[in-house]
Amino acid sequence: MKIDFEINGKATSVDVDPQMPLLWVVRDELNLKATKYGCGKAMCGACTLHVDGDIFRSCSLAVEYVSGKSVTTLEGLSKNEGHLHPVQQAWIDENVPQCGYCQPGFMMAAAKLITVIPNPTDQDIKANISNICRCGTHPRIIKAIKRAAQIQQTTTLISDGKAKE
Amino acid sequence: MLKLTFFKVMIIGLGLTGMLNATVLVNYKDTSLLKPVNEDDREKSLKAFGTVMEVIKSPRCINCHPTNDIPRQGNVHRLHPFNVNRGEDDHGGLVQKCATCHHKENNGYTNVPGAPHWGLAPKTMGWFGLTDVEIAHALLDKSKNGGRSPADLVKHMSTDSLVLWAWNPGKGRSAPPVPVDEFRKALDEWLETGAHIPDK
Amino acid sequence: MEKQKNEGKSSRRKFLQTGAIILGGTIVATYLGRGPLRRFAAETAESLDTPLLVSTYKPDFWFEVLTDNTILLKSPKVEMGQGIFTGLAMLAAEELEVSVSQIRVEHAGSSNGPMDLTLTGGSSSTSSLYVPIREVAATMREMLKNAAGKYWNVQPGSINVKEGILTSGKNSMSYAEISALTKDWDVPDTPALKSVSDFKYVGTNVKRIDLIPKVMGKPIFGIDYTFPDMVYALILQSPYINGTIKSLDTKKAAESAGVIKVIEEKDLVAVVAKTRYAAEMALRLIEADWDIPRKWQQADFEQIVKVGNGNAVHIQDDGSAESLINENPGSAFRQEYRTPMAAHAQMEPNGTVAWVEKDSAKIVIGTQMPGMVARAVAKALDLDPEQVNLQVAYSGGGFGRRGMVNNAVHAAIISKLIGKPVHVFNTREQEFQNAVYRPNTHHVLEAKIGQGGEIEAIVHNQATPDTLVEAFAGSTALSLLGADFLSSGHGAGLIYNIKNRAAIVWQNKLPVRTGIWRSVGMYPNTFAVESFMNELAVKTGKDPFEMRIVLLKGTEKVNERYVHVLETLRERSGWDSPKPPGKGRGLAICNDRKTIAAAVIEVQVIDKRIKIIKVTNVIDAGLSINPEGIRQQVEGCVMMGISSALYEELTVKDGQIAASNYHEYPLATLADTPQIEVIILQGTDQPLGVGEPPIEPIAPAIAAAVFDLTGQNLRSLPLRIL
Repeated sequence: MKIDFEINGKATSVDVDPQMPLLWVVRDELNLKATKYGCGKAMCGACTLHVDGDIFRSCSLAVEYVSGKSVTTLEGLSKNEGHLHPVQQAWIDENVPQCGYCQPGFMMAAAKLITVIPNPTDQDIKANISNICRCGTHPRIIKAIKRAAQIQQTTTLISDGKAKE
Repeated sequence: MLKLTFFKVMIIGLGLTGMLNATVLVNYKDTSLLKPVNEDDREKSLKAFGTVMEVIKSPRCINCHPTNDIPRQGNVHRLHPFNVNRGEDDHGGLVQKCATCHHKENNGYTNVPGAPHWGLAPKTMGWFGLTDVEIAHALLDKSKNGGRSPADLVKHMSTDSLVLWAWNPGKGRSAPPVPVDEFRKALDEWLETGAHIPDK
Repeated sequence: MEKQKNEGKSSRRKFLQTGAIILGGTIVATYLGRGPLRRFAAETAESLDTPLLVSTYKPDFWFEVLTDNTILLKSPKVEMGQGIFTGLAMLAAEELEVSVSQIRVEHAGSSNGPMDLTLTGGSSSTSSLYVPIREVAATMREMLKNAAGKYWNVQPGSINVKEGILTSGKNSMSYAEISALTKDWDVPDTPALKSVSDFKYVGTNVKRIDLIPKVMGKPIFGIDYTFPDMVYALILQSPYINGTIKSLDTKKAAESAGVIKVIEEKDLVAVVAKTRYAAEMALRLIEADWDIPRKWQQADFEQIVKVGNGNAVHIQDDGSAESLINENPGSAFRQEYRTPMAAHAQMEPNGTVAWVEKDSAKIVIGTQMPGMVARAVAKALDLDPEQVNLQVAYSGGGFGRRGMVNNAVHAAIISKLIGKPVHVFNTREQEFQNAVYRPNTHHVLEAKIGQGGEIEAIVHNQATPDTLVEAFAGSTALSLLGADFLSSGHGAGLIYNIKNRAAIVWQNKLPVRTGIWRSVGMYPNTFAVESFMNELAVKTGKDPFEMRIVLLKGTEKVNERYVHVLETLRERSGWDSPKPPGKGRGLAICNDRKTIAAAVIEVQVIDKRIKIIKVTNVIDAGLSINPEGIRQQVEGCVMMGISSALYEELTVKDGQIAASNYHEYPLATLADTPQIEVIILQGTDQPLGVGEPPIEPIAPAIAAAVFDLTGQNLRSLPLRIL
């Protein structure tokens, strides 16, 4: 079945089994490998991405559900290395990743978190992201999310200022 | 038809009650207004109630009616892992919602269950860990059943897509032990026979 | 980017004064046949430095000068999250006279770099490469200087080097420029190396050099790799322990959408499909009946791994510990401890991308043993080793799980059969149910306590299956050694100066494959021994710090380091300040191949659940190459240690591993994150291991903290409040 949707800001069309998980569609049909397979049961969060601004565990989301919608993966979070998303910048500032495999899922969850909780506490972060990391980057993820929220606020202020000028 | 008459009477009755005292919550005793408790029906009623309880206490139903904030999983009712929480609207937190993983149908690849408006029953409608008697009272108490009249209750329990999911739970999950038609019949019968509640 | 390769002549290397214990083979057979010699081998193994064994020491196989004047280092050690690429870049930069940012690191491939012939593991990468990588880098620098000297016709000694720019008088040229101009290279003797005090980068905090690919989501992992026209396969694996196929119906699978072929070879049944999704859906349609040799139960596993069962080897026997305790066994203080079987649960499942053609094989894999994988593939396909081109991918976590061939050979065979490149990665269920596991262990500790409360003797009996020797060197080696004291029995011996002390490793075999898991035997042994020491402190009315300092004092360097670690930890953890109400505190320490790690942990108990509030770590891993990298490793160990101590347990039921996915094997999440403090000491000027030691004190320190708070002695992992 042909399914049309937007991926990282660009229109795309795939002709696949409508039940095919979005995870495998983005990885193997669209060749975007940041979104990871971890458990295949929507438990570990490595496959987290955004659909119309909400987070989804894409291993458990049939591609037919995103027909006409807008999908964002980590590859689409920022334009390029020179224009990092606050979450990516904070991840670098706090030297977060170890093996790095779970990080795309964490970063996509974090990107959503700072939009709905612009000034999160440790507790907000602990209660709202349940992804799994085996290397133990948890303390740095918590720090990085708080830093990302700060970067977001600063950049919002700057762009507000520019808009006024 | 008996059923129609029952509903009509009930609706009129509820309307009247509402007019009489709009500020007082209508509780289960309203049923008795409509159909006086007939001790002859008691046995029949309790039998129907037993059937209703078999469904309500089945894991597919009670796991998402917790009295706290965490859903349960499986026939062993283990707590939903990964810090999953009802959130403010019973559909998860601000970031991770139930719909992050659960969509409008069971997922054929992951076997993650899904149905429209997947979420927890409100905390007021929590049943997990309650006795049959407590659940019965809760079912009939508008403050604990989502503000439902008996008619609404029947409607909810026999037509709501999330409730009906219990009979289509997906591979590896057992449906309630009573077929959906029998459950509906038993629920009707329990309410019609005066919603008798066992002594204990 | 176009690479310019140096044409290396044969070099006169002085690398490698190895002290390798070569397993299998005649050395083992000659020396280890008898008990005392086994003990000697065990003691030697505990103190030896792990050698580096790689396929080549030619500088041009290690380094390439790129046209943008950066230098590509081809690392023989694999990056699985531990940060080795960053540490190696720092060491290379010191001798190459470039900045760290001028070094790029990739994995060495079998055809283009120094292939590791052993294992990335045992926390040995930095220590084993500390000298060799600097020697190769210094040699490379001299080669570049010599070439420039020849070109300018000046003495190489007159040339200065800074950030990859060579200058002599008014001459100036980059490494890239001289590389482009040079055809014949003069390889000098290994130059003298910088002394520690001259280091520019070593000891400074450097961020990981793989941050950009990792935060941009670049396709760096094995599972991300694609070849043109690649297909996807999944291998049918028994969901039962040692199940074999009784009967098979693959009709439905073969007819499933997207399926290209169902392979049914003698020991290999696999679905090959156009997509991973199609392969996975089809795999589920294979109807297989399994012959199950035995319906193993948890009780069987606990009976097999039990002190008294199997072969016993004394790995420590000082004084007359056993006879002192056996004189009057009733009066000995005796406790038993258990640790469960565990999964590595690394986030990227194991798998391989293979492309086998007539006379060649390309293999892409995240592995801790590239050399072994390449050899195994060559052997299975009857190819010459040089016909196998193995590329190592970044590993999505290792922890020991990639210290084996895994499915590389099967992937190669599938590719050969199908005539196309193939991607074969386990499902998570296969990762849990058909894996290699950390074995369960059983420990009996006994102590003789004197009249004045002094500890006169301690005997530690540990029962554990093999995790290394048989897997790597075969069953003959294991029977010669008697027990795997190199790995699973590692740390059974006591570090405390007790005149009479003994440690015995009881080896038996489980029906599942057992293997190395972060920190190997140190994990169960530190839990058992340190828990026992904490109980002894309570029993004899001593402060756990005081008791340890008394027993670890001595005249050797290591004694001084122990005391420094403990005194620092005592102060920094606030041990002597009043305990906050409702909290308990516990301590543990270990020495893992010379690295000393210790932790004080503060816990609460809420609704019978243990909550870790604060972890103060002190680590003395010798010379710190990158303190920032050490902190990352310690934090990682704390979190994995908490996860393992509180939640993780694999059990066996009706012939199966009971857990099939993370819901049945939960790991710690963000919600479990405590306050973590890391204090780094440098007790020697040699870099030591960092990736494993800090996990070792976590479980026993938590157990001690729970006792401190509740009075409950929890002697089995995972720790559960009664």
